[in-house]
Amino acid sequence: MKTLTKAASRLLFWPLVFFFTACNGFEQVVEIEIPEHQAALSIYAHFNSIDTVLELRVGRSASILDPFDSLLLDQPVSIDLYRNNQLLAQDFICQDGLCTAPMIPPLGSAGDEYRLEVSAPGWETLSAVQHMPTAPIVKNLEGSIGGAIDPDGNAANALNITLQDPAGEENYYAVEAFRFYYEYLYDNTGQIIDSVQIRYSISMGSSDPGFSTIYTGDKSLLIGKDALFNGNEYLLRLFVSDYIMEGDQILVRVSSITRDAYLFFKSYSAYEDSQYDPFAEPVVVHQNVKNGHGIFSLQNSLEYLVEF
Amino acid sequence: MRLFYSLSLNPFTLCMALFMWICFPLQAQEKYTISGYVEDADSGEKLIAATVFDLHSKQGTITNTYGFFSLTLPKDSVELVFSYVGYEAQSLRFLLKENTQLNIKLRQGKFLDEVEVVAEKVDRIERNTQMSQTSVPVEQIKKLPALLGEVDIFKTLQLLPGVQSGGEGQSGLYVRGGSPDQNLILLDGVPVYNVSHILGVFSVFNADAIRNVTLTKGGFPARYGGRLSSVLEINMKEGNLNEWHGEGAIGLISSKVTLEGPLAKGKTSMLVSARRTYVDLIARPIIKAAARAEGIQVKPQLYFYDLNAKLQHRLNDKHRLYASFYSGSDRFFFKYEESYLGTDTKSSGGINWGNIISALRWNWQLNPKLFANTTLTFSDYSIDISQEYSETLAGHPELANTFSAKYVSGIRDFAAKVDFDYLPLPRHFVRFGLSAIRHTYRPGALTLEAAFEEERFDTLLGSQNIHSLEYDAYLEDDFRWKRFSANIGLHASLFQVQGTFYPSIQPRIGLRYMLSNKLALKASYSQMQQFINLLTSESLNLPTDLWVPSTERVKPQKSWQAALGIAQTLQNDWEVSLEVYYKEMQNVLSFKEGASFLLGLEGDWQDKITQGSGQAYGAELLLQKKFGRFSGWLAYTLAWNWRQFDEINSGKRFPFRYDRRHDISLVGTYELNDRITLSGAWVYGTGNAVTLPIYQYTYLSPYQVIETLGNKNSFRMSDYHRLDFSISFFKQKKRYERRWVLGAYNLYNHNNPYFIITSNSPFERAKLFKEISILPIIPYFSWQFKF
Repeated sequence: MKTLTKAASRLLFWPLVFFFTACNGFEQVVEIEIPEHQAALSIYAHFNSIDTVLELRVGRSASILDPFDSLLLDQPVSIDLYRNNQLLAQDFICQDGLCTAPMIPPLGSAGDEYRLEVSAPGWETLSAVQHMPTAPIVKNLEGSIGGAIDPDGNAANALNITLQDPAGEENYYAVEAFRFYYEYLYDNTGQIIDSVQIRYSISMGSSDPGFSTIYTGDKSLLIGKDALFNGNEYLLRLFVSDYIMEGDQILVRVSSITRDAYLFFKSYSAYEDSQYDPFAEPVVVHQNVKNGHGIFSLQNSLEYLVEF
Repeated sequence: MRLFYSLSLNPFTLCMALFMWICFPLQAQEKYTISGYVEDADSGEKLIAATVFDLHSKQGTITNTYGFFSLTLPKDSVELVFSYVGYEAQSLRFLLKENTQLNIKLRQGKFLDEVEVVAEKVDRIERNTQMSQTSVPVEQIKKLPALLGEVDIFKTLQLLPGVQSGGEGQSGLYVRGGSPDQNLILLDGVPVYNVSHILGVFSVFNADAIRNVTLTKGGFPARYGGRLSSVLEINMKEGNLNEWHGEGAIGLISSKVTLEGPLAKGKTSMLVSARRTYVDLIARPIIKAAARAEGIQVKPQLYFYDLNAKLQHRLNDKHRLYASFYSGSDRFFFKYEESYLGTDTKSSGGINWGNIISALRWNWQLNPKLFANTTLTFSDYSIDISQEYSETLAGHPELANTFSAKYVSGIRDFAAKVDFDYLPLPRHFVRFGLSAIRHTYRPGALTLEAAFEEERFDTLLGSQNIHSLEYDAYLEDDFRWKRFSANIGLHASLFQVQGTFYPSIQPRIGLRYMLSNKLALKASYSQMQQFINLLTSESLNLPTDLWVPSTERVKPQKSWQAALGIAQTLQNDWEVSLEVYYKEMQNVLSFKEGASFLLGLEGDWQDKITQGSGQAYGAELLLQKKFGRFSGWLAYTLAWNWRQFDEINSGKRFPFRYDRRHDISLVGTYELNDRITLSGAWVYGTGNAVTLPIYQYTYLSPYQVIETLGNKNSFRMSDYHRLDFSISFFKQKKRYERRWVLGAYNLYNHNNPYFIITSNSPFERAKLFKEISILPIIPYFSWQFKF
């Protein structure tokens, strides 16, 4: 449906294109006084309870009029991650703004407080705090071929997840699905000597009013909140767009995410969409760090292998 | 205080009190009523707001929208003077000893200055209780410079104080901080939903078919309802009852012709007016030739047309019937065919949108004091967008891939209303009436058909029609007492949609006090409520803008407005008015962050909007001369315009996009001699408010950058100003009049910004803001004729 309706909506641009190309007579560069921007450190750090490698991106902010390369930080960065005020990781190795910490025991334990501090010489220390959300309670999860109807009215593969939502608190959920393929390593004689399992994200959708598919910049994700089913058991009906045959397996990751993660993904997705629609209302992407810019958020995930 | 509280909550008590106030004086002494119509002697067109004044009793009145007047005076000799601006006054002396019916015919004078006006004019700006209202004579509108020579009523209205345009060349009206959907635009009493052609560049109203235009920005009388910000009444000409006439024009992009005359002399008349653009007819051969050279066949079409028609029939002195009709449409269509490597590709598509409006009206003079107007109306706005595509492998028609999509949306109204004008005494003008409207909204339905080799599908998607009913009733009295006059009334409405009811009582008060013979102090207060909304971009009027009702989730928009002002007629018929106003709006709509106005095709529109509040306040000055060798006006507006939504700009109040601090219009027409007329308009406005990014940081990679916005609408585009100019040469030929008009839009070619883009500097890698202008100097000419 969305593809088709988007195709149809493109029709609306024809007269606009005509209008602007016919009339686009002249332009002028104008000096608009932009308030001076106080540059600060910036991060993107989204950690998952099942991560075994911590990865975050560190940079700096700059005025909108500055070139892109001014966003790279050329000073050494110091990163400290605390769990319940205990230092958990600090030996991050950074290259071109991407910082990776050596393998640590996976994050976990719902309710734990995580504090991230990032500093660099000459920069104010950036910090952000998150609490690990409770893992989702998945009571049932099943997939069936052709068991769903997509918004275009066509038969689609169904993925039904029964959640038990904790009462009295706001909960935010994310669902992802992956499939696998293998890459093989051959010797000189053509014999397989090794294989690597590669997982790739597959697209899902839902007509559930509380959930929507968003694009996070590197993958698609279904996110939602429990406003319509707080404290109740809830059947979340999804459809999987990928071509699936009987007996195929997909990996389903069901997660609880923090409110900041939800707001960030939701706003970033709207921001991305608005970049391609000149008539969309402007979007402010959610941030939650102190003395800087960007996002620090957490996700507590469970993974299931589902056979169709 | 307690009594006031009780009264304010009981509309019935208020109505009864008003009724007693009006009727009580009737018992005073023996009186008779003089009633009838005032009309143009040549054409039989009725004259609106003509003055009827008795020199003996110093009592007077004005004609209503249908040229009807009623003046009740004591039994005595009377000396009535009938006058109307631009017409020779006529006086009549007789002994009033019974109810008298008069049909007065006035002849056009050369200029008002040369006409001896003996009566004290009742319709002078300071005499009228109504404030915040402007009427611009159509003849004056037609003399002003126009974009591409296309006379446009809306663009003239944008030159008035308190009225702004949406953007360069746009026809949308932003009145006292309101948005375009908050304007009630009535063509012969029928609401018009889409008022623009070619993406808002021209309005749908053909000036040749229009008789008069009146814009009310505040102090709304009780007879109006349903919109927050303004009422624009446009009345079509009725057709000449006495002889056949025609007029027309041939211009750069369009031509038009109007024909009017009697079907039965003095009893039945008709008027037909048509206009069509022909850019496509000129450009098509060029485009086709260029495409043919590339081996492609194309057939482009882009035009609009308007057709106005009106029929009037006078059954007798007391009954008159009218039928009016308007149909206008924009059509954009293309067809493309190509053969390449054995594959035939055909593609076609288009957008059609337009209004159909019709009204049946029955004027009935029930008695000398009571006039009824019953109207049945139909208004339909629809848009359809279609696309077809096929790809066929030569010799294998069974392997054709085809796709077609059609989107349909719109709104349709059926309405019935009855309005009464009751004039029991010279000092009272009572109006009351009832109306019912049935709205049908088509929020968008998409039909898809596709065949990909052997697979086929055919489906209908989209929302179902929504119906709503709107009932209105009103009562108002415009009364005068010595130096004081007032218009007090109540407007009641009930809106029903999908099981939800929204009742509303809206008080309206207008007051006037004569400080001296030519200087009046005026004040007004009005509450308004609006039950239908237009989902639209703030920057562009598009045919895809969607009319939707208030629902259980989307509450009706409400406003109250208070205004205070002075009005005075100066020497040589110059009028001046100065007003200050404050308007508070609730439940105004806006798209949420990231939502696009290109909706209706996807999802529930209610999910994409948010409701908030708005405040608009400011001051307006108008110095105007309507008639004479020189006519024109100076308008200045000082305004503030705010919005607040919980879900936008972190809940902080921000300036509306069209918050324009200063707005100046200087408009003038000067008749050098009988043959040559000069005309010019200079406008200046503070730049529109815009939202711009102020800083940036990286996300997943150094090349994925998130730009963060400053506070919403916290930046300004460059100031807007331009000068339009025209000169016309008139000549009376043997059988007709002709006029050549030469002119230019944006004479000094100022780069007026339309929108801002960011782009990278070619030398410094840094970003730049660029203002894009779309309309440079545009010269034009047109040839006009009249017979």
